[in-house]
Amino acid sequence: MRQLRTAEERFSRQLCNGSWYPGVMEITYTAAGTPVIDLTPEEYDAYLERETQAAIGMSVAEFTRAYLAGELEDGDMAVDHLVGLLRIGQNGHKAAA
Amino acid sequence: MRPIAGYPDAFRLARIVDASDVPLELDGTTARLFVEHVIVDQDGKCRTESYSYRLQADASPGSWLIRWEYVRDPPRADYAYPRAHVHVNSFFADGTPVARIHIATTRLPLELVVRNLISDWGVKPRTEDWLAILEESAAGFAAESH
Repeated sequence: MRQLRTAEERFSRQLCNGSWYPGVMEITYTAAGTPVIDLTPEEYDAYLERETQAAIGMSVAEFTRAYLAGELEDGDMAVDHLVGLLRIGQNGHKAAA
Repeated sequence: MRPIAGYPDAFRLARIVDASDVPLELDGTTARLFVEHVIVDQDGKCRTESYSYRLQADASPGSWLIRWEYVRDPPRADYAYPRAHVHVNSFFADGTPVARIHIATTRLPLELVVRNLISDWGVKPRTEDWLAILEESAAGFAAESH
């Protein structure tokens, strides 16, 4: 195994081997040394929940329902961010919930 | 780049540190650029599903200055805003806030945002031929991407 070059890279390695991604199947690195983390669907769903809670204090299901009901304001930074993150309305996806 | 877990046709580009999205650091300034880009493989072609490029004064999302955003499909049936637009965190002369107004744009390549950061926001390029690199990278954007 090659030497990890940067503190961030080493931290990412520790992160991926630790509690953040306990079920990670595989970690690979780009030519530039960027770690590429494969998450399971369950891990990705947990990531979406964390991001949604952090951004607006709702669960994914709560946010999706409220957004589709027109209860949240388009143009709000957190709302716009989560609409893209959760892929609401894109390619037939109502949400990644 | 790997498919989004559970969605084998979709790819999301973003910087993730400590299991959360974080903006990119920029040379020559304390400002940051948050980049999020979702690409979908449709019939063997890469199509941009959405992007969000957010210039921030610092690492905090609340310090945002400009947001360039795009969604390919309206997220709601009654979504009336231009799907490609920019938000500016400022005020009109009469004090009216601008931040939530969707100012229409065309769909933009990231290269154009980076060019703007260098030309107007004090970001230092790492090479003298940065402009040629960006122009070459962005060439064919309209023809090759969807």
